[in-house]
Amino acid sequence: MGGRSNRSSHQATEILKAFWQHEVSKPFIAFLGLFIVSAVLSPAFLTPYNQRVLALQTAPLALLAFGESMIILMGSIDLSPGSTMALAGTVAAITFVHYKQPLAIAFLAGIAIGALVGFINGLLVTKAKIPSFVATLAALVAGRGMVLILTGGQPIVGLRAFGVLTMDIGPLPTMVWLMFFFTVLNFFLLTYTRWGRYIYAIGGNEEAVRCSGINADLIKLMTFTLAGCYYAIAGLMMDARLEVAYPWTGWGAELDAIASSVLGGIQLTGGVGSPIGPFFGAYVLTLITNVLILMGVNPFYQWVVKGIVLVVAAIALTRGLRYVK
Amino acid sequence: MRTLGIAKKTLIGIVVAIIIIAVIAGVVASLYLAPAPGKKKLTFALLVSNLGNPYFVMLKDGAEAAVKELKAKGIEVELIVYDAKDDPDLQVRQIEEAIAKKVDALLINPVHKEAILPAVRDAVKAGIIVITTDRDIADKSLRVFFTGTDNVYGAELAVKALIEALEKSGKPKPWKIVILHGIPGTTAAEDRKKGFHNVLDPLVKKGDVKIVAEEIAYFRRDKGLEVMESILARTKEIDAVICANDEMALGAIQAIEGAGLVPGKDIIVVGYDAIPDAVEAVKAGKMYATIAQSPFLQGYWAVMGAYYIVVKGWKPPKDFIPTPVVVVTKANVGTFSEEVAKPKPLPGAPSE
Amino acid sequence: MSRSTPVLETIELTKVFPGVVALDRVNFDLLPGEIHGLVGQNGAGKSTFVKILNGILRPDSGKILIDGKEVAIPNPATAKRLGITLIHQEITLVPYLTVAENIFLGREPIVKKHIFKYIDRRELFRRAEEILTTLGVDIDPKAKVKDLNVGEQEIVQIARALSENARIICLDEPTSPLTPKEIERLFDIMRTLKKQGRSMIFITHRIEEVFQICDRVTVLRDGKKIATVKVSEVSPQDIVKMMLGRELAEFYVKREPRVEEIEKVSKVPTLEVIDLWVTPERVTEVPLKGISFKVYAGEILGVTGLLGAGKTELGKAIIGLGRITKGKVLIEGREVKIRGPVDALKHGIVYIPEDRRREGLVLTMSVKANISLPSLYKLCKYLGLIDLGREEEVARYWIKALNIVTPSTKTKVANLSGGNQQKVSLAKMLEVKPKIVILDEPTFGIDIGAKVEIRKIIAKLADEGLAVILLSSDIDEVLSLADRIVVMRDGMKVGEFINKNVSREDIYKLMVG
Ligand SMILES: Nc1ncnc2c1ncn2[C@@H]1O[C@H](COP(=O)(O)OP(=O)(O)OP(=O)(O)O)[C@@H](O)[C@H]1O
Ligand SMILES: [Mg+2]
Repeated sequence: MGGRSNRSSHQATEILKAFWQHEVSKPFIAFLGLFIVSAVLSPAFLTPYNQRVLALQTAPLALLAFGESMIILMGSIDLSPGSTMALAGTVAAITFVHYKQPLAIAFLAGIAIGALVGFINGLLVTKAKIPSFVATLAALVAGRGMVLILTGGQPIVGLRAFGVLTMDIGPLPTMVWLMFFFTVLNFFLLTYTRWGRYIYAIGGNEEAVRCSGINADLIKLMTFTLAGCYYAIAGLMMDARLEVAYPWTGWGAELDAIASSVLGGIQLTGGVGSPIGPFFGAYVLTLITNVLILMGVNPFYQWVVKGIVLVVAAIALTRGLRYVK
Repeated sequence: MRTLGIAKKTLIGIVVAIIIIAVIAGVVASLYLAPAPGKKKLTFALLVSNLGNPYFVMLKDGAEAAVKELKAKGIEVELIVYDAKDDPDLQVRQIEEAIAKKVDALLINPVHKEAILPAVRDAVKAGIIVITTDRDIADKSLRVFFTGTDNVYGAELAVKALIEALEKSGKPKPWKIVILHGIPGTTAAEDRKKGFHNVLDPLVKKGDVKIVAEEIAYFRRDKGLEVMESILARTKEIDAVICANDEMALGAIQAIEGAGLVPGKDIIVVGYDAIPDAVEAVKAGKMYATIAQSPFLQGYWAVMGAYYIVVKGWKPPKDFIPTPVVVVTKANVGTFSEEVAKPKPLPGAPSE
Repeated sequence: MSRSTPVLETIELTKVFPGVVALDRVNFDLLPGEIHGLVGQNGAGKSTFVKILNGILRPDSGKILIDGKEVAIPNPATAKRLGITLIHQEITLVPYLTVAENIFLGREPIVKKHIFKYIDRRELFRRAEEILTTLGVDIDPKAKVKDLNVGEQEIVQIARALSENARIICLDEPTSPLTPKEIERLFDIMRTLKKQGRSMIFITHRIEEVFQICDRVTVLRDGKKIATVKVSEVSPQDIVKMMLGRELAEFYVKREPRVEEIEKVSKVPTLEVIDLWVTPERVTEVPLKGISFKVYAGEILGVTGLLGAGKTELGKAIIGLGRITKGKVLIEGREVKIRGPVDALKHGIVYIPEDRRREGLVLTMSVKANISLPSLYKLCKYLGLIDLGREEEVARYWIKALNIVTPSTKTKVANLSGGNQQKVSLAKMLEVKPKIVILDEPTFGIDIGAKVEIRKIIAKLADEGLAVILLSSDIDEVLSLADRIVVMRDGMKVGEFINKNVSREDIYKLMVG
């Protein structure tokens, strides 16, 4: 190791070491690195407008990633985020437009439907004992089907009022504040509460959790339900952004949600990862797309570059592990 | 070896199951294929991909209008309409049923250009005339002709409308234009891309136009929004956006408004497809133009073509008969839907 | 012994983990044909030492010499090439493959036909048979590993080492899960290998085994080598003293059985099991046939029997992990239905599993989080927020009480030594403060010093009024702690004694039948 000339530099290395040991350090560094590179490569990157756009685009994905990461932390997987968000967005829009309910009721209806989808996923996993991959795949397919049936494949218009989510409060739009709020909430939930602890424990060793006399099924059920609520909020955000309930919202978003979680340092085997990592994951994913457009890279090359950046980021994250699956 | 024993049993089970299923299928099929009672009148089957979509309802209306016209001339025609609900398997079964009914012609609006090929082959073998409409099938030798929109031509009209608007606006040249494309590899996306470039490339060479960004937004409104936002972050000096469909155009409009600009004034937007939302946007002046296709004529011409072929032995001069497209702007936004729903004579048809 | 060059030598071997020096300048040598014992407390660095020799870990400094020449062992493949192999503390076989396939995994005999390559299965089985015969054991090479018992699996691991033609075989606590008979067989095999001139490093917590089989023994304490001595020149007490750094007055806690008193005071047993029948859910499990017993508050019921007698199955059946086909469980005289550990906990029953890595611990989490896991509800005040200060206190209490060697409460349990992991899995269930505690082999893999500690704790639990069920194959442990002893064999109860005037031999006879 380097020379220890005096005590303060020694202390600094200790702090640095402690930081490096922390789970969120790698996603954070990946984020920071890409951020700096982007700022250098494109003068448009740091403009307030672009940062605002990035935050707006990240918000729904971050919510999806928070839900997804909880499920992955439990050692399961959720393929339903995209469909659930679309379904929640649709139901909220129908409640608001067709049933002429107040905005608050419409939002609640959307969140409730998200919770219901999550709850059903949870039941399928815990009671019917269907592996989460299959159970949520069913939700992915059936959920989209419901959206298409409810909308007839056409967007539901007349959601001007959903603009409360895109309207500015102080310097930032409501939904960006919401994203920060949920980042903090998610951090608290997973770090400081019993529920969060159990989520990590189930992912780490479900057998041990069960043997300890903890009702693991209940925890799973609750977690799937909460994840459903998160997806629903993402759906409301997309409604507000487009001012319509668009039936193809979130098509393929499950992959983005999983990628955000993994880029955020959540291990797919469960039990390991920082609760705020997925935020950085979601931001990085959005940032890559954004900066490639800013630089005017040919769309086909964008795919290649994205792939390479993902691999590099993933390598940075998995360094030091003996093997991964 | 125990596992091998189990494997053998499984194999035997599967073979037995297959045999049973084959026998049942054979019996059912032979019942179906029993010769229908003799008939003199013409029977056409119209196989629509999805009648839940208003666009295809218009296609059906066109076909029915043609049948009515023929009947008025004293010709006995029956039209059987099938709705595949976007399910390729269902469409295959419907084709098989139509073959069993010994129809004279199949007018197919395919759900999938590959999946239904075997069924179509059976139809051709059974001596049935096949015509495709709105979308084509992969094996072009199977159908006599295809009638549908010429997307390249439509896209050319869209860009021309855009240029016209730019000229009217008096914006200084070179005009800075953004293009949003659809899902790469799909016929619609590729054809429209070609159409855009057919018109734009010479203008770029001349220095009248500068393409500031050309991105893919997958025919989706949310992607249209996000991609356009990023483009606007790069530069707000954009005069116009041309999109390969209306969803992307509507997303782009959303982004333009979000950036504090006025769509239709600061940035001129042109879409494609004339979906209801887009028509509203044209009315509101946010979208300058969109392209309306004519599903009505696609249905109408399919039936007429089938009639000419079966009764008069007509050979179409070309195997692609494009249906007209209409540029929808504020000027004709109230009337265009009637315009595209009017019967027109089939190009190259034999004289009566 | 003649002074030939050592086959293996380490000079100043050092390994540092965050917070601990696992090995501190260890000098060590291994002679040809020698069985060299390696002993020390939990966390002394024994496993770390053999892992370095096998290229699983890399040393921070120091040299390794093979046949007097310095070598680097960056990975297990290199170790294999040098003729070194490790038989892990945990079984590392592929359960769904056959014995033969496991022995030759990655080195299967191949036949070539044209461009195709096949595994020559006949040759594979023949060679496996050959190796197993040289070991003098009767295991079917075509059997699936999952259908073997632990002892046989251990032998398959040795067979694999032999097939690699290893000259230096490291055995990390191979005897812990074995029955006395299996241990004898293992020792026979080791003697055979010794005659072939192979050297062995043998790690164990049972000092008597060192005296049975080893030529020399090296004692480690806190990563430092204390001494290497000839077994013939020392006594067990000497070794224990070197290990602990202090005298250990007694290996077994003496506890006066008090059955009569207890029955007088409490009329109703805390837990009573009547005619319990359980059908197994897995092949490796043993069916239980009509087990009955009573435990009173303040009493220790010792259940003993060989491996495979059904002790674990009994413990699990009580907490609802097992298909009970017949029988009753009564708590304080009232019949209860226990459908799983959640119900069991509601009734104040906890089970501390024998297989701690699989059923006891969440290896991805810290020592602290593992200890508090089952009792988290007690640490939450409102909104389910965990009182982190209290949690830390609780963890520190148990680390002290059980003498858990860990750099901090935040260390991941995966990074603890095997014995310390066991202590954590004990601590977490004891923190629940149950009424009835079922301990499944609580001193498996635990060093002598800690064994005494844990036994004292078990005795204290009973003194505090808990009903304790101690499932243990260590007769002496049961004899020293229990008030009442139940002996099991093949899923049946074959005897019950009040722990007075029963001899070790009586029990052993019943155990083996
Ligand atoms: N991967 C690791 N990371 C951090 N610390 C470790 C790691 N592996 C081992 N240690 C620490 O190194 C020390 C020695 O551990 P080791 O496993 O060698 O002990 P041991 O002598 O085998 O003990 P036991 O008898 O309990 O198996 C312990 O304090 C342990 O916590
Ligand atoms: Mg060890």
